[in-house]
Amino acid sequence: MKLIQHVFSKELREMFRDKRVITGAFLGPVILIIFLLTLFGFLDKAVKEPSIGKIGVVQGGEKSPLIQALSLGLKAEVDVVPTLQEGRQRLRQSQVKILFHVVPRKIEGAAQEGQEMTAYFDRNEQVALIAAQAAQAAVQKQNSVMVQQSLQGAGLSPDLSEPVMFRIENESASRGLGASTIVSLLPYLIIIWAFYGGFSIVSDLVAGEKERGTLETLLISPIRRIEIVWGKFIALSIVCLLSSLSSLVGVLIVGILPIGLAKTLFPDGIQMGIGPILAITATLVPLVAFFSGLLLAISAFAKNMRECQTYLTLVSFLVLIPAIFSQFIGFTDLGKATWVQFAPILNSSVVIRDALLNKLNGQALLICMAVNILLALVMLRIVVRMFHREEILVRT
Amino acid sequence: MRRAAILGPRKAAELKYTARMVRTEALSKSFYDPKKGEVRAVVDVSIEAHPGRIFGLLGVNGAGKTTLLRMLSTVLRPTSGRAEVAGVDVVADPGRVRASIGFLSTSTALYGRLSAREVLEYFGGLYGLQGEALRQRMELAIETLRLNEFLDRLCDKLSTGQKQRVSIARTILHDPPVLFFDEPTAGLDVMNSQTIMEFIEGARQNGKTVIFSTHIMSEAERLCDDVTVIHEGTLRGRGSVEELKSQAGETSLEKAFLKLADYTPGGVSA
Repeated sequence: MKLIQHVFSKELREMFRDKRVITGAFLGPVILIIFLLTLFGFLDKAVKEPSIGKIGVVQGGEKSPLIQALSLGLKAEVDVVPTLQEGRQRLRQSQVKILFHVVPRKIEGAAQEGQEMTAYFDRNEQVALIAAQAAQAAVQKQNSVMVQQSLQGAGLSPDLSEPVMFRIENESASRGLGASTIVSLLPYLIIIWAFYGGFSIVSDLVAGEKERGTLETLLISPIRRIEIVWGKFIALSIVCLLSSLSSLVGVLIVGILPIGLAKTLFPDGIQMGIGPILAITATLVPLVAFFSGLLLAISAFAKNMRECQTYLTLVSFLVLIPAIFSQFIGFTDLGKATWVQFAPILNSSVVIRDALLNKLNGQALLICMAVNILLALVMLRIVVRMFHREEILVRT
Repeated sequence: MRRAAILGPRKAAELKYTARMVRTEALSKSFYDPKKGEVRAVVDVSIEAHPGRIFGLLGVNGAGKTTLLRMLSTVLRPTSGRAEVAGVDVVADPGRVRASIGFLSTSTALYGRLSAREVLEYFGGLYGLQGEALRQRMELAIETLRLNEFLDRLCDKLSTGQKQRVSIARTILHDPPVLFFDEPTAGLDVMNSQTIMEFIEGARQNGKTVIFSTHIMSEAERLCDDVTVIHEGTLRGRGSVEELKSQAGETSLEKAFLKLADYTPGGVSA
């Protein structure tokens, strides 16, 4: 135990002096998540409050109350064009993003005159699509008001305009971070960095030692090989765990940065309950142990650092694919499927997501922990075996 | 005087001259190579090395010297035969063997992101040295090898010579009775080579059992009390330098070596 601690202390000291670890494992996830969330926040804001610039209106339509309401709502300047043809020309030349053509419409029996409004825009222009949808919503609202007025005028109940009412009630149990729109992204980032955190240093741990000749010096000392493996494994696990938690530090920084994004991204604040924190930790620790064992096995198997990097790149796809898939699991009901609870990486992502949403499934957590512990033990056994196989350890 | 101190008390020399600190009996090692099939790196090698003497392993690159030393230092397991170091079988109790040896070669590096002091503390700890015992051994090594001027500098920032001095300190920190040197001067300049050779001579004076592998004849002539010529994994001759010359009927060790290694002029070895 003492020698394991001795190797662990030395490895950790070396790792923390390595610029690749500081930048790749700690600063990397913080900077990346700040960048991603800032981007995410600006996009979210852009969708909710689109900046359309100019809206074109064919002459005569600019006085329509709907057009005036739209220009106010979209914070857009109205560009009055003499003819529809001229307006479409300006649309093609991108001088306006959307063109409205409003013509009066007689409705028999109606209290007031109606209108026929046509929106012209390029469907590939996202902003124009948003403006068209906003116009459609405004028209529907206006229609409802007009129908209600007509009903009232005829001595009927205005409620007849909406015989079926539809309401949405948010019954989410999650508060704070869990209530944020980034909840589908966060488990992915936490998992990815649990793996990539060790990526920058693991090739140094065994393959690098083989290449430099320091491993032989270590093998000649009285320490048992299992003690070397444990010392390196624990040090690597700590770096992976810290790297993974660095993504949460990034979230925290975005939450307190005075750039006005916090309200968009975290309308309910960024606080988290102790339950989700414990569940995430319980998921993360065995997962990190599995990743560290896997990374160490690759490093032990490789002849040198270059070969190690090649293997790492290949294996990283095996980690990336389920992690990417996990982002979309919220769109399906797969999170509850038994096979997902046993699927490495995917199960961890689902448990972390459920913990953030305050919907933790105890059974899923236990299965996930058991699967990761088992995988970590298998990986460690493989590494220890490799450390006893001279054809693997001594080859360069 | 200080060099003698770091190399430890002459307890090893107090053993009878005939005490065999390193002994192998028909030691062999084969590897499987996917392209070449079975490769016999060392074949039935029997040697003995004694305290207070330098035992030279003379051979060209790939002759089997490093494989033999790796078996003696328990990194590789012999395919057949026996080997004992400090009276302990290398297969039966590799941990005890490792505690009684020091190993130095130019291919073994230091940890670049540790300082010289941290390297010594690390290896001292691996050999069970701690507290006062570690402090005393370190002080002795630091003073003897003049490490003070760069003791707290990272090993990556040290010159080749400084690194070599730290490596020596690491090798003898736990005062091992048996020292293995695997081509320790390869790639070093004349000054650094001289430091190493002086150190090896000091080890002999202090009763250490030294096994020194080289392909440089002048080094073997200067240092070795006993020389074994190894070629293609097999022993081709043994004895003192003079005895080898006489066995081969040659006037120089180089010529004797070439003859024992079946060298044929034109660069083709038989």
